[in-house]
Amino acid sequence: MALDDKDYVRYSRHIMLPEMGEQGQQRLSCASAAIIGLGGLGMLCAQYLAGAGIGSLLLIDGDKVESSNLPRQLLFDDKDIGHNKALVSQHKLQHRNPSCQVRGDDNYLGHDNAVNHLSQVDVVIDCSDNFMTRQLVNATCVALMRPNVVASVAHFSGQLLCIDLQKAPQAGCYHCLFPQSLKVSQGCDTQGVLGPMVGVMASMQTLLAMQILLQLDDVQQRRYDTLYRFNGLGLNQLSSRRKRDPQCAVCAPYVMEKIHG
Amino acid sequence: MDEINLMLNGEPVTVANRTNVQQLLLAQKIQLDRVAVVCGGDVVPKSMWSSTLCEEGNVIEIFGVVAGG
Repeated sequence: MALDDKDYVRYSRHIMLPEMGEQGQQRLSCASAAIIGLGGLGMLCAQYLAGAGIGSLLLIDGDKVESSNLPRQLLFDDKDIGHNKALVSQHKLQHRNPSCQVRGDDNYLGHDNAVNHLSQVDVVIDCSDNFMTRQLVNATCVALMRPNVVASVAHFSGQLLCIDLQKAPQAGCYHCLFPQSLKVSQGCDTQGVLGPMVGVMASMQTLLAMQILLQLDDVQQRRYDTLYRFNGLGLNQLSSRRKRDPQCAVCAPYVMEKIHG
Repeated sequence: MDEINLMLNGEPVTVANRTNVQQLLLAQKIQLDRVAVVCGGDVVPKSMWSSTLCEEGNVIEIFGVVAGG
């Protein structure tokens, strides 16, 4: 999509970036992303991407806004309580960013709609709030060979990783790192969380997603095989190299097919 | 060398030589179904815990999955 004069002004701070330029902004305007979960992570990712001029956004969440969301989910206000998060987000973001096509689905992502939804987009952004949905997003993205940018947060801990079996089959998938049999103890509903902690993780998650959409592969080669763990109390981040589990029940068939043709 | 020294989540730990990652976790009373493991900056997938031997000076990190959003 060609940029007009208003676009040049609106996106001037993007276009002046050597890594982005006019071509990058055009690329973003043709790109699409699905955001799974419109809670603390997802509502911020959605605002960043819509504001940045992404072509289309698919917002998926069956949850409704509650008063306990408002301190950190800043897209919502008291009038939104009781309304579906995906549809409220769609309405507000479409109004603010008319050039972005925003669609909302007020159903949770499930086995019945995952392939249909995630096959429509260039990148999947997993902002869900539970381990089972994260496993479903992962398995679907593996089968579709879609890049999946995963962030999570609880208490003062955040985790971030980007899975792309096309780019980094040796790094494996989410299930290689966190098998489905794992027991989960860290969630916001049981451990609490501060808004800025969610914001840090959502910002890094969106930055990774934008790097993928802009195809900045020569700038940061390691993004596809790294697990980032952020500690919000010490303000420090640890990076670890992810390794594929050769016995992974989720990605092994697809990776072997890719390696051996 | 009968024993080796390593760092586990920032704390010094001494274990018998030829201890594997799974044995290390069990010896530390860490629940195997609640953690992921990084050794020397590399993730060790769970299926490889019993075949991955700890070595002198290893820096090992143990952490749980965070799932909130």
